[in-house]
Amino acid sequence: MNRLTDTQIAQLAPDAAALKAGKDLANERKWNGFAYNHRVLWGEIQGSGKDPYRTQVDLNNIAFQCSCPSRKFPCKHGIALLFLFGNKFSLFRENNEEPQWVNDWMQKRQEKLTQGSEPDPAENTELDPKTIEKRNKDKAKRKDERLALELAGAEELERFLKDLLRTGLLQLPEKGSTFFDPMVRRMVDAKANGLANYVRNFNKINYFNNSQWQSKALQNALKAWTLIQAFKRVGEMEQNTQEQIFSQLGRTIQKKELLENPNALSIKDQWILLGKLSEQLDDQMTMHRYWFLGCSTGKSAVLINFESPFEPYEPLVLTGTIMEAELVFYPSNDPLRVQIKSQGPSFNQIPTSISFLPDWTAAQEQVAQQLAISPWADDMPQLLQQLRLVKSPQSWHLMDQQGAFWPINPLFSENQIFYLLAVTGAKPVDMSLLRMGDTVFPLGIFTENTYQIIPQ
Amino acid sequence: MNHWDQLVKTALLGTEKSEFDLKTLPDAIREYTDHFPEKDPESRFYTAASLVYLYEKAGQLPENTPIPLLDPAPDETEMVCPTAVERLLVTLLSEQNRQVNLLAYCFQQIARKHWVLPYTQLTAIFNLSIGPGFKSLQPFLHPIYGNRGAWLVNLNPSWKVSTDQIWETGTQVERRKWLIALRLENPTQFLTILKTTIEQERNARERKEWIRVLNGQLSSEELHFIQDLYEQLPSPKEHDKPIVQETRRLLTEILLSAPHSVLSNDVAAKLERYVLLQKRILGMRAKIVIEIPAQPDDFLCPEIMVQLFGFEAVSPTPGLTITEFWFCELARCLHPFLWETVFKDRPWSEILGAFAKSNALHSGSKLPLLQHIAHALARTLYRKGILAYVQEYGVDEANYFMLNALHNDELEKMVMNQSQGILPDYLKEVLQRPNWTWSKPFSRFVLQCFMAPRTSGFPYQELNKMLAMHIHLDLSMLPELEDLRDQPTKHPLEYQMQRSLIAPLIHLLQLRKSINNLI
Repeated sequence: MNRLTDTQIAQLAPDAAALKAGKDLANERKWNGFAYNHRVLWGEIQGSGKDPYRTQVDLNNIAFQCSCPSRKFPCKHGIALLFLFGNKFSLFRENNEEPQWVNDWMQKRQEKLTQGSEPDPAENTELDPKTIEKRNKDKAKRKDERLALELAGAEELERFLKDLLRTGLLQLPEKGSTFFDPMVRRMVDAKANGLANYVRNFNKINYFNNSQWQSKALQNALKAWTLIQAFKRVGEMEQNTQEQIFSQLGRTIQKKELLENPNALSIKDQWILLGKLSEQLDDQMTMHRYWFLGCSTGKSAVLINFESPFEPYEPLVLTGTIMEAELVFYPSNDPLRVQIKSQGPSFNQIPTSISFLPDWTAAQEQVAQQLAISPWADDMPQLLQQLRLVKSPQSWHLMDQQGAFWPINPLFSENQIFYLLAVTGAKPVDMSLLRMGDTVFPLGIFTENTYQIIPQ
Repeated sequence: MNHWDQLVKTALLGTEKSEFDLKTLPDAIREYTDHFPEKDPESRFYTAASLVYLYEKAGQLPENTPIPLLDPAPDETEMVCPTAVERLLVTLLSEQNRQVNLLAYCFQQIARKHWVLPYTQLTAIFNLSIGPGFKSLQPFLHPIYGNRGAWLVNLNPSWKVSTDQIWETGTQVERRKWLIALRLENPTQFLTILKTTIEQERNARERKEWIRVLNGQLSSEELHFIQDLYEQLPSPKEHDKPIVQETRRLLTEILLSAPHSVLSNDVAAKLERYVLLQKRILGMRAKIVIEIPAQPDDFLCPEIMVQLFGFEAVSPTPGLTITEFWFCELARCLHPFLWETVFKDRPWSEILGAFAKSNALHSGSKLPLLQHIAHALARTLYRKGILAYVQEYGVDEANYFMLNALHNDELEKMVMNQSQGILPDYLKEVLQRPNWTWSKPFSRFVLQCFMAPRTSGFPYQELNKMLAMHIHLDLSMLPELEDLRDQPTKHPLEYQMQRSLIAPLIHLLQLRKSINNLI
């Protein structure tokens, strides 16, 4: 049974006001009653209305339901109930006989989780064959139209890259963003967001860093070029590779569609949360990546959530570092990105022995295999045994048992370095990390049968 | 130059001006490039460069040039805090309004258990302790950061500076707080640091400020140090700068306040002649009379008082002769323990009474002088006189510091009797003694003072003052506070008090309760 810490509950609050109100209401005397069992927590609280509000929290797949009229989600009552449960657990009565209203909600949630999402009422109605045929035709037509758009966009970018190379990249620092912005817009119009991102990357390069910008600019152009060439030959490739190329190009698969796809790779395992990385993509959009490792399967996975003013952020909340879950992988010849289909309890002890790569040579072989499958692969999680922190005059590195070392990514802050030093005492430890280009980004350390995430 | 560098060079110049020779590529790549269908040079270049990029990336090897290893952290000799305490620390550190005194309390409890901080929290705590408003935590960290913390501090110079030399970077208030806290936690280190600082300090005024830190309850080591400083003072000269005289006077005051110093014993013996006990007549009680000569004598004279002790040469108080002034100054500075030993049959309360009644002090200036005397008493057991005085004259902003001499319970009673439901800022200051938990009735009294009916809202600063005092509240107040918080009210000021004062206080008290339960 999951009991969240105050910090985890605070993460769930939609804003500071709801958090404060939730803390104020986390007082047993304000509640008419509350109880819990292995899967759900519920309570009734008198609000301004005639009837008390009924608040429920799904403890395994954290979710809230409340009969109050608040538009915030979760509302202050849900937050308050969690605070109460976390801090005054002894006051709670375990009750396996749920009230009907709790049972109904949990039943619905169970169905939703089994089916992937709520069924679309429109899809349930029986359609006549003509309508189905028309729909399929429309769908195929839309698909062709999109493909044509994408292809036109890809060819236009190909010409742009050729022109760029013909005249030389040396002129790039003088170009400025106005040179690339029209091409970004053109790629967005062509529904090729993946290609648009490569064009945007030219604007993100630090042209004042003479030692690096030339190499970075060429690498970026090459990645875009490779994708364009792969896309032009996409018809010749097998299904999973096609999916990967479409995904790189910017086609998205809705969560619902993925979870309902019977052919999608789905793995039930005990997943270690290796770490979370957040990246500000632009002024309004933040990308949160949760990296996982399957204890039994050894499979890596990444859950990506976006946060923007237009999209509610769904933080992943775990009471431990390991969760039982069924993850569904987005189709690819190198499946990595996932959505959570169902989530069970979480805990802290690693149930099975984990296998680690012995040294950087083995780790590099794994990278080579990965590149062969996915030339666009950026960040790749790896587990290595007995790494220790070392420092050259310029930067910090991780050294393996053979004395070989790899530089730590500059994004890994000095605070994190000192955290790692504090926890390891500069002694060798088993670690998880992300391979990021020519550098590594430590995610966490394994000690006996527990895992410790390095805080961001 | 490797293949990648050559490719970058070609790309920079452009294919119009430069050409890349595909024949120079490794065989593994030429297998593909030899069969390129691409006609134009740009396509050929991009495809070849893509292959080279992946080829080199896949074959990249880690560096293995010799690099010095860090000395691993030494093993811990003390027990690391249990996991439950670690979780509590995480909660305390992640609080939106972290209370420095609650953290200090937690660290003190950890130190009492002889535990060391969990390794996972070391960096967060070190970083916090160098931040504004939290520097006073540093002395509390010394006993609990353990071997791992000490090792880590050596690796991070900014923490090293913060833990050992904060008074050089902090504000005057922070430096003073830091040193006072260090004196409590680690007197040996305190004295070492202070000695070094005073030796190195070139500014005489700054040096005097450092000496002032030692004012009160000198240990024998500290007394030796002050005596050495006093003896090292140059012989007085006619045109000494005022700061030299001020320093001399400060050292005199400190030495007089130390009951075991040579100077204080000597002065006490000399003062005896001025305090006379009149004999009992016809069954009346013996009476204390203070007789101070109108003209300087062999002791109350400028050669000793001004040149040796640094006192003023002219009485600064109207109505007080210079000899009376010197006597008052000596009486003020002298440790009352000496009064007791020298004037065995003259209880201090009576001396104080005689003092108050003496003609010399019967002017308007007696009050500040008595305050000075009472201030000196802060370090003593002589509280009865103060209590008698406070009952007669009351407490105000000018004399409140004499209350420092009172025991906690005496102070509680006095404040409850005297303050009439209002707590001025100077009293709040006196009430915040370190490591003092108020009794339940007094906790209730202080809260009631804060919650006294108001016509306007609670100023933010006022709320913060009460919140900062949470550490003194009795934990058994929790149920009462919860009742207060839950009392239905429609009055906006009461509602504000419930939300902004009572609820946060409950939260802080609960955290302290958790600290007590876990540590």
